[in-house]
Amino acid sequence: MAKTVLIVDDSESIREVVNFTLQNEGYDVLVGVDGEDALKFLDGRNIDIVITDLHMPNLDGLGLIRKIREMDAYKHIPILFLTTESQTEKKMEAKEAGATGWIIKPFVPAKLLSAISRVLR
Amino acid sequence: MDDAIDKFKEKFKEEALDNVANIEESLFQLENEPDNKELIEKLFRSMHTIKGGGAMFGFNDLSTFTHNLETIYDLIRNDKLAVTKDVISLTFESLDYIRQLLDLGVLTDPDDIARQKDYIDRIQKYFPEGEGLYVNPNKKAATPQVAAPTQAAAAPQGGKKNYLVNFFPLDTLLNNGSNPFFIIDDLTAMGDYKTVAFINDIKPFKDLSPLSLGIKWQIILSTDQDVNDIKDVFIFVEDECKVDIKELPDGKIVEDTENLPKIIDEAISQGKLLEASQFEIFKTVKPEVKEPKVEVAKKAPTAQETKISSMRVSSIKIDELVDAVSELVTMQAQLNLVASKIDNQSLLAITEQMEKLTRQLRENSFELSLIPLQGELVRFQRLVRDLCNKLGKQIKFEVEGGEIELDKNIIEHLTDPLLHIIRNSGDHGIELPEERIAKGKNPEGIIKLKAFYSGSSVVIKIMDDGKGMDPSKILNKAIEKGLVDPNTKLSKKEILNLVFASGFSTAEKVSDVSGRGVGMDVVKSKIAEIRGEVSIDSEIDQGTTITLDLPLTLSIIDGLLTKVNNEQFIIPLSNIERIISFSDVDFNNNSQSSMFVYNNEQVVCIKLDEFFYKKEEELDKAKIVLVRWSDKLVGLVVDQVLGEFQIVVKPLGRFLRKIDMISGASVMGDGSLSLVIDTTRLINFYNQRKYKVNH
Repeated sequence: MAKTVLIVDDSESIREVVNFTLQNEGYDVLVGVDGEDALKFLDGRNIDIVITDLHMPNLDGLGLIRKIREMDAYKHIPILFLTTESQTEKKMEAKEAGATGWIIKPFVPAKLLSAISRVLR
Repeated sequence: MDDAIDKFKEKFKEEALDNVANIEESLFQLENEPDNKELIEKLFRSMHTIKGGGAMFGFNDLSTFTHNLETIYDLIRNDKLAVTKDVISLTFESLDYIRQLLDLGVLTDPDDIARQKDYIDRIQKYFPEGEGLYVNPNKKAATPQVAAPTQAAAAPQGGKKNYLVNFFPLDTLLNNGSNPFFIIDDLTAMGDYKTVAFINDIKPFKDLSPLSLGIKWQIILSTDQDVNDIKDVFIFVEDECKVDIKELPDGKIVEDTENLPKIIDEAISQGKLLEASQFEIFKTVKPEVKEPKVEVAKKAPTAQETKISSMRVSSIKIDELVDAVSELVTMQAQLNLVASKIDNQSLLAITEQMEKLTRQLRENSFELSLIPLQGELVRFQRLVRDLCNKLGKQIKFEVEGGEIELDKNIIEHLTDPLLHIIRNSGDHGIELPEERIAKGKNPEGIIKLKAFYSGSSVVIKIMDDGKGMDPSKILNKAIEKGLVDPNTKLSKKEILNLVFASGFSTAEKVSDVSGRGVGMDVVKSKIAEIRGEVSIDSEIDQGTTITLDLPLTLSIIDGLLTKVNNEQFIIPLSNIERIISFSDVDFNNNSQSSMFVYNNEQVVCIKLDEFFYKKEEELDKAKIVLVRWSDKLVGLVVDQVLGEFQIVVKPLGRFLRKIDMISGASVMGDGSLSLVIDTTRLINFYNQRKYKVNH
């Protein structure tokens, strides 16, 4: 069965690239435009991995990660975050919130896929 | 796969422009509320999005630049820098520059590169020592933070090396969605291996928690990749496990069937971890090169589930849809006609149903091409701000009805005239603060843009509370310029409307702001192009109001259907003043003359059959359609007036598009074709070619 990816980003162009890349690879893709919007997908349905941006309006990436980790259904699913920050500070914060790993922007599609393959098989 | 990036480049540009507009809007707010944390956060986020996307989609210079700008707002949000007027001005300037960068893409011209450096230097002046270093996103991209297990990497010094890798997961490893087996898989995919698991720490069953592992792994790995590649495998779990990598002697260790099993058995039975020193005995054996295994996992594409509440559609697609629907409306009219002729009950019923759908479709698709005025407002706000700085005035820009929606084609044509009007209000209308105080006014002037629906049109008013216009001054000037006869009596409104006459400019001297040559006459003709009307009202020392009356949409108009030389022509109803009979007109007993007097006004007649077909018909039954041209009446002589119709205007084909006095064509209900006359252009053309309508 195809794996389901929830992608969350407030930038439409990034969403589309990620969505396009993942659909091409055969993933089912759910798209949230910010943390708040993404929550509507987290209703108990099967989601195999979440890929989220950190800076977003309404509910930011850190907030979303924390919320996901509070949900029984998604407590242990891999969560990757997109970040332009190479500073360890932001990464640590996201890891503490419960993120599994990260993808540094800018990324080429291959890099995105390889990051996913690290945490989801 | 990188095509994906190119494919979305345009999208990124559009989105970046939106973000720039958002930043601009927030900046205006920030000017009034410099402590608004939420705004600063929003600004930062938008810049961040531009920066991140820029690097993704090949706009590296943009990304570098925005990184610097973003750093300022990072400093501000961390209370290390205050929001000052200078910072805001610099940001505004930077936004203009970002717009340019979006057009330029990657900078190649040395001048452009130097300019970028200048900008960045100016921004970096705000950085405290050591903050916000000049980061080139290109370089960042080059160091893969997340690398695939790269089997293809070249073997260092032509051989494999042996490593002892300790992987001791902490209990927290499972909490954040990591899977230790994936890590072991990644490691073992790097070459040949032996894995040893120590399970002594696993708790007795009653204390067992599925969340704590209690397993320690040691992997003896023979690989052609280096230590950094091995470390890379643990990048996501660095803090959730203890990792130790030791180099072992070269040679066959993993393949060894004699000593290795012994060492391992001993370690497991005693519960003692393997030590690098235990491998000294392998020191002399030569390594054997083995082809690395490559695993390819490919997932089959399956049904997608993507939900999104709104999407961006190319405006060309919308234009095409609207065109097609207009076509449908025309076909519907034909169908109605045919159905009523045939008079078959079931056909009539279907026709009626169809008509309902067509109407609904028409309404929906026209709605698609409507966009709110809001989007353009930031530019005006920006203009007023720049004017204030340049002229030393205090002006507040107020907006009412920004949510009013107009056809996007109208909005496109509207921006320049509005900018011009607002510039005029700021430059000539609003007085300097001292002058205002002397007049007992608030030193801060107001320019207000108010938009509202009125019937089937949209009205936009630009009001200022400045010094207003002096009718006597305008009249003198008009006389001076020979625009009016000094002896004619004009009402105040007529005098004020003289500012729209070509060659008239109220600016006493040409200023830096209003520029030269572009007057209100240009505004008027631009508005006329979108079938709008402009009027003006002004009261000395109270202010000036300019009113634009605009159609809701460009593709459906009310028109007067006429016949000229047995061909059908449509004259837009909004331009028509009156229709009179040709025979009623007294041409001063001179049948050659094309002028007559109507209501004390001289009217020039353009005989359309002569104009279009170079021949003159019997004119006894002809009608004269009086249309407004600038501030004059012009008569268009047609053979016959057929009536008033709702007309779907279709653009002319490629070859005919240059004929600009015909704005389009329309298919009538009976399938016949008619041409829509652009009266302003027709008269302009007539003027240039032959006669003068000016008198």
